[in-house]
Amino acid sequence: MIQAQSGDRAAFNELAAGIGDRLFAVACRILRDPDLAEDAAQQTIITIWRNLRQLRDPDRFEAWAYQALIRDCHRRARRARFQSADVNEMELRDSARDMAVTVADRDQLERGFRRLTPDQRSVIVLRHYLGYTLTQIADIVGTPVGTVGSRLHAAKRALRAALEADTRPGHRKDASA
Amino acid sequence: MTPNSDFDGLLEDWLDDGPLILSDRAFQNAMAIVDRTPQRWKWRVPWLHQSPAEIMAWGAASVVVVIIAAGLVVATLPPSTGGPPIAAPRELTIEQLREVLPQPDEAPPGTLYTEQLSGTISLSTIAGDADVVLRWYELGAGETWHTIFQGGGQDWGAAAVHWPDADAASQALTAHIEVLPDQFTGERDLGIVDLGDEGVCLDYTANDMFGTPGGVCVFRVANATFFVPGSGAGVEPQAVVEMARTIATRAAATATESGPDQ
Repeated sequence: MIQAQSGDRAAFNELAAGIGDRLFAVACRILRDPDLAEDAAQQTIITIWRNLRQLRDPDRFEAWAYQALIRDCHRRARRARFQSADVNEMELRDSARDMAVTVADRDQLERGFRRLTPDQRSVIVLRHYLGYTLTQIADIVGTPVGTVGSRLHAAKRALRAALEADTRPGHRKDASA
Repeated sequence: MTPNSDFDGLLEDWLDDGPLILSDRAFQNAMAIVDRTPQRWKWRVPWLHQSPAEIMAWGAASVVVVIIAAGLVVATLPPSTGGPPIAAPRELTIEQLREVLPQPDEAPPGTLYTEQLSGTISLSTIAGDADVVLRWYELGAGETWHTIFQGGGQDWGAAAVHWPDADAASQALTAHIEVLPDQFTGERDLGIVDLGDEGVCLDYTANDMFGTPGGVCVFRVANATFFVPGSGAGVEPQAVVEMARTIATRAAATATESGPDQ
C-alpha cells in the first residue's frame, strides 16, 4: 500500500488485482448490469490510483475503495435511470449456482430491487452482500447511522412488498383486469 | 408474511448469485490507463492557514479583477447585427447510432463480427485516458454502442457515444483528439479534413492495446462522436478511413432536425 501510494505502479497492480473482482461484484449487484458494472469497476480502479495519496489510513483502504465505487455507481445509475437494462440480463449471464431462490422469487426481487433508489440499493448490498455494520455503512456512504437504518428499512420493506405481491391470491388476475 | 430471518436469507442468497470476476480485458484496460495517469498530490488548502484579514484582502482583490475582466470583454464584443442564419440543429438518437455503425454482415475482409464483445462499451476503453473520461462525465456522456470484428490477426472496432447536444459532442471530441496520439506509437495525421462535421484520422506503427499497426478515426456527426480503430497485420489505414466515411455518411443522412416542435 505504501509503495502504491508513493507511485509504484507494480505495487498498485497487485493492490488493484486484489480488489478488482470485489469492486465488479458489488457494482453488478447495485447496477444490475454487468456492462455498466465493468465500467464502474474500471473507473474506480483509475480513481483509486489517482487519489491514493489522499488516503491517510491504509487500514481504511477497502471502505475507501467502496466509497469511490458507490459514488461512481450512483452517477451511472442516475444517468441510466435503471431503464435500459433488461430484467433478465443478470440471470442470463449467471451460472445458476443453486436453487435456494426460486425463479419466481428471483424475478420479483429483481423487479423490486430495480425500483429502489441508488442509495437504497447501496445500503442493501453493503449490508446483505458485504456484511458491513450500519456504522461501517454510514462511514462509507457519508450519512448518519440513523439515515442508513431508515434507508435499509425502507428498501427491505419495498422488496418484501414486491415478493408478497406475487404470492397474493388473484394478484396477477387483478393486475391484468 | 415472510419472517425477517427467512427474508434476509432469501435476499442474501439472491445477492450471492451473480457475476464475481472482472474480466482480464477490463482489468488490463484500467491498468493501461493507470500507466499513463499521474497520481494526484495531497491538497493543501491555503486559506486554512491564513488570517481573516488576509482572506478578506484576497477576496476584495479577486472582485476587482473580475469586474475589470468583465468590462474588457463587454467592450470588445462586436455590435449585434443579427449575423448569418443559424442552421437547425440535427440530432441522432442512441437507436439510430446502433443502426449507422457497421452491421454484422459488413465485416472487413478476413474478419467476423464478434457478438460477445459488441454492445455497450466503457468510456474508459474508448477514451483511454482518465482525465478525458472525467471531462466526458461533465459534458453529459450518454449511452455507448460498438461493434467489433476480429479474425486473421486483425481487430476492428466502431464505437459511438451519444451526447446531449452537438456542442457537448464537439467538446468531447476535442478532448479525445488531444490525448489520441498518446495511445499510439509512430502516429501520423492522414490529413482527412472532410469526415463528418469534424474529425481526424491517424495511422500508426503500434497501438497500446494490441501492439500492432493500423489506423484510427475519431469524428463527430451532430450530437454523436465516433471512434473507429483498425489494427493488425494487413490492415490498410485507408480501409479504416473508408469504414469511418461510411459511418459518417449514414449518420449524416440519419440525423434529423431537432427543435422545439419535436
